[in-house]
Amino acid sequence: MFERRHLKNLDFPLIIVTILLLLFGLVAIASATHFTAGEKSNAPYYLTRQVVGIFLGLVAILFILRIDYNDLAKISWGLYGINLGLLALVDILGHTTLGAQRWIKIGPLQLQPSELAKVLIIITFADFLQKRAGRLNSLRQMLPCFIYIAIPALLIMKQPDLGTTLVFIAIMFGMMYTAGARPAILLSIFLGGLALAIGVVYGQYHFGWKWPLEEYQLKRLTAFLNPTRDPLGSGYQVIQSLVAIGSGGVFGKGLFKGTQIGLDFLPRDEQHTDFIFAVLGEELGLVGELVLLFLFFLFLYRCLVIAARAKDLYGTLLAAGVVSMVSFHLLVNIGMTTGIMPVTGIPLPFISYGGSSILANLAAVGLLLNVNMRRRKITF
Amino acid sequence: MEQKVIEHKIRVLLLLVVMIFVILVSRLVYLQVFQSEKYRTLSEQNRVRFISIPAPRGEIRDQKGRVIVRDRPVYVVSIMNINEENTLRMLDKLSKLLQLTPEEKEKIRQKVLRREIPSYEPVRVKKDVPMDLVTRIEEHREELPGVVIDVEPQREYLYGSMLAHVVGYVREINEEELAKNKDKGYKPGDRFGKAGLERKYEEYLRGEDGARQVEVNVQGRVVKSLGLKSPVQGNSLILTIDIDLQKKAEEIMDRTLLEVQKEFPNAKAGAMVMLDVKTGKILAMVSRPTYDPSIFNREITVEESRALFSNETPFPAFTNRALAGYAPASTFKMITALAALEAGTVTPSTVINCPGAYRLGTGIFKCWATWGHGAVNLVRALQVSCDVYFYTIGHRTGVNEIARVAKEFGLGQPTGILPEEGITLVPTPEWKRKVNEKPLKEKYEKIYKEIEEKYQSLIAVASNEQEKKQLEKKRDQELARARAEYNEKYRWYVNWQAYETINMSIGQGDNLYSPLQLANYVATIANGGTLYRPYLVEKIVAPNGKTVKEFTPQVIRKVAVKPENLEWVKRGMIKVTEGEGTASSLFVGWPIKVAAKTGTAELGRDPKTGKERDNNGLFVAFAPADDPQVAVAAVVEYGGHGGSSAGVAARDLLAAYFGIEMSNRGVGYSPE
Repeated sequence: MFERRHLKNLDFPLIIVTILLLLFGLVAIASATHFTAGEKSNAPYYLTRQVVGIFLGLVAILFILRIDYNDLAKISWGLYGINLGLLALVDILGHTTLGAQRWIKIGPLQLQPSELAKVLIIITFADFLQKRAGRLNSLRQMLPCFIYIAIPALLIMKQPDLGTTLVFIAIMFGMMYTAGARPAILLSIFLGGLALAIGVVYGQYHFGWKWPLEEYQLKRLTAFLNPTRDPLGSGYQVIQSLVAIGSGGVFGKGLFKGTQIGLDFLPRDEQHTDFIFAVLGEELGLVGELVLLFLFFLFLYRCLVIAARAKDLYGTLLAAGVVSMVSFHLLVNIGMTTGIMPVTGIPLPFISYGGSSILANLAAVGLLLNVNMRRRKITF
Repeated sequence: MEQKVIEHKIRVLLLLVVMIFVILVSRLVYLQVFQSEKYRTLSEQNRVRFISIPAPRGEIRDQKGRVIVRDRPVYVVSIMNINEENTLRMLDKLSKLLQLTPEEKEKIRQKVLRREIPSYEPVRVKKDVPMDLVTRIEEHREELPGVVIDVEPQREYLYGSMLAHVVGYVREINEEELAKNKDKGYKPGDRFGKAGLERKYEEYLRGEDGARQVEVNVQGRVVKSLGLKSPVQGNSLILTIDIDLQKKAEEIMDRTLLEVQKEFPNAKAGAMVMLDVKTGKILAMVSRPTYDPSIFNREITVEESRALFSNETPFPAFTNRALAGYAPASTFKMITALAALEAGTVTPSTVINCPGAYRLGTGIFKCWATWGHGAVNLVRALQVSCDVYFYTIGHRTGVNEIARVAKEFGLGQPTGILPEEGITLVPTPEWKRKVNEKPLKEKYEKIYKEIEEKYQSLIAVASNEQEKKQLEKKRDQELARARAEYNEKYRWYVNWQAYETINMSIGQGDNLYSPLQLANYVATIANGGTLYRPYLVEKIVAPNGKTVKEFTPQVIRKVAVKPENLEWVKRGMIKVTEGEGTASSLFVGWPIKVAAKTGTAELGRDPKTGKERDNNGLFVAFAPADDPQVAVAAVVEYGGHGGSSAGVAARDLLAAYFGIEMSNRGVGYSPE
């Protein structure tokens, strides 16, 4: 299974970029949890937990490298079942934070199944698609794929976790496109869905429809359009995030010197999670953010290279899934902190505090490394 | 799939990724290069501030929409706490201008010195500042840097203390309430309903605070507004109460108390409730003594607090006596009568002889008419309130059936109309056991143990076998004595006694019912057996006039009592206001028939002073007797006879309701 030649094929650029991203994240968490308001710093607590998350992620990578990724395809239905089971479990014994059920408590650990669900769905959906390759030319042939994704997506929607639901949809489009589904159909479904979503939000906003979004969800979703409409409520995070990033300027205020954070203008429990990019923007400025974005770009570029030279379609689809997931996270997370996307609350991969997210993303890296190790022998 | 196709697709994905990066980078460049100056200014410490705009609370109005309680804007003077030195200097200046007392000034000074107020929040100096002082401050603006004048809503009670116990009051939210309501968006300094309807309907009344995000200069003056969210007024309550009737009820209660005090100087407290018998709507509700809720707009003094809440004052004014438990005395007799009729232990025609007292074993229970009523049947027994009749039928019927009927009519059952409901109780054997068994057992177990321990130590030091034996015998004797004592006490304090049933039959003993429960029970007799849930709020309306919530009459139950039995009891109550009836003198010359019952509760000796206390006067009635519309219950504490105290108040309220001329009212005394 684990041969010497495989080790030689480890993709070192990807490994290095991942390590740099993780380090970047640790620095950001340290800064975001280090309060200047005269209180005791919480940084050691969060850093320790994040490092534990990273460690678990590394264990996951080693575990994944030991098996041939094609073996995963053989148990894809089982994994799909486990995935649904975990998500259903959240509904039953979920732990509520901020009005949403997202956690399952296992001893001292809190597991967020919706984070792991993203990686599991990439693994299982890739198998689902490879078996249908070449037979994805009509809406009828694509329908099973939509149902396959819709079931876990609805379970997550119910928590409610709109952000992760959207990630699922992004993964679905990215992988189906790569698997050869007809682009024209995909594009029309995408545009139709977008128009429908905008229509529904518009209807709720202007005609007071009560369905399907709760009032608070609607407020959050539309706050970015005009944050000063509700500066104390739904618009608060957006305004404060914009002020943080904008005031950072080109070079930033310096690490650990952000006033938006120090004075708690940004909500404390979001400084190190969903809004961590705002912390970086304030303290490291445009320069720091461009460095981070460059690292992300390298990461995604490596993923695409791996996708291109995978030995089979299954490997390609795995890599394409990870690319869709990570790039959509970037777009939505950074988009929301800079006020061009609705606030949906999904983390910045490798950077945001959160063990489940780190574990899931590192597992994804493990998959990519695995695909790359067993690639076909061709050279560009 | 061909490698070429795959590579094409990967290239498209790469293009999409590049697009995402282009979007994000351009947005960042826009924010951090071109807009940076704007945001940097905004982020400078203390420059951007949220100023909360408190929302006006909803109003409380009567059934015809007339405002009873509303918010009024008042001026608040505060100092922007940017640097301590300036704040304290301004405090000095302001305290002269606003004529603060040294204590008030010192309190604020301490707050500033102890840094209890965050540096970006204003320090409040005085609330409800009169207009002329506000103008004076405005004139001296230049010499008062950092001083700001805000407008804030404050509760205004248009009728003073009227209906105080019903509307309740509002005060600044405390830490406990804040912690409990964390997720509802309260913040320190917010107003919060503390009592009465203000508390019960807090979530409807509170409204939604607005906010301004502003840019301010170093002196704390607003330079520019960055965003505004208008406050939304809370919803208003429309009550079932009619202000005109309520006003009269309050006057009547005050007048009656003054009148009764001539004979019974302690008659300083009382309550009265009037209900619509066809709906359960509360039309008027009075409790005395009362208070002015507007005192809670400022800090209340220690004396005020004591007069309102302290158990050491004889009549704490905050207590809503319309919802407090009282022994119902003879107003309970309809329940005993119904229980007996239902159980078949008596019929309407059963005649019982009253020689002036009732004998049970060695016990003698006197009738209030010690000379005896002679032969009485049910109707006459109610008319003249013959105690012997009710002792007899009560004893025959038994406590369980009486308690069942009492509960059937809602007695002893919380109504939930206001948060301040007193303890009420239908006494039963189970209740007595529950309350007394455990403490008695524990007490005696301790006694047994003490005896054992005492002898154990004695036996341990005994010099010989004989002495030991003797001690053991003595110990056993002492234990046996204690056990016998326990059994005796158990029988007396834990087991229900026949005399208790007898006391209960005439509404004495442990019965405790609120005037509201009494009014509702009489209303149920009046309307033919439908127990309604009493209610105070007819609807809740939004500021735009739309109805948010509407309350309709709710039937708790049809009481399980035969209609003909209710008719017999009604007949007895009608007789109470006729001829030899205990309340006949009250209703002389009335154009409508009133059905009523008087009650005079004996309170025994004051446990503190040991002196015999004056009786509580109670009265229940409904009218008109042939087509009942309203029911009323009244109580006057230490008011003596029910007919001459509570009866007068209830009679006058009925007269006010039906618009009856008061010129020919009776003397209001009956010798019960």
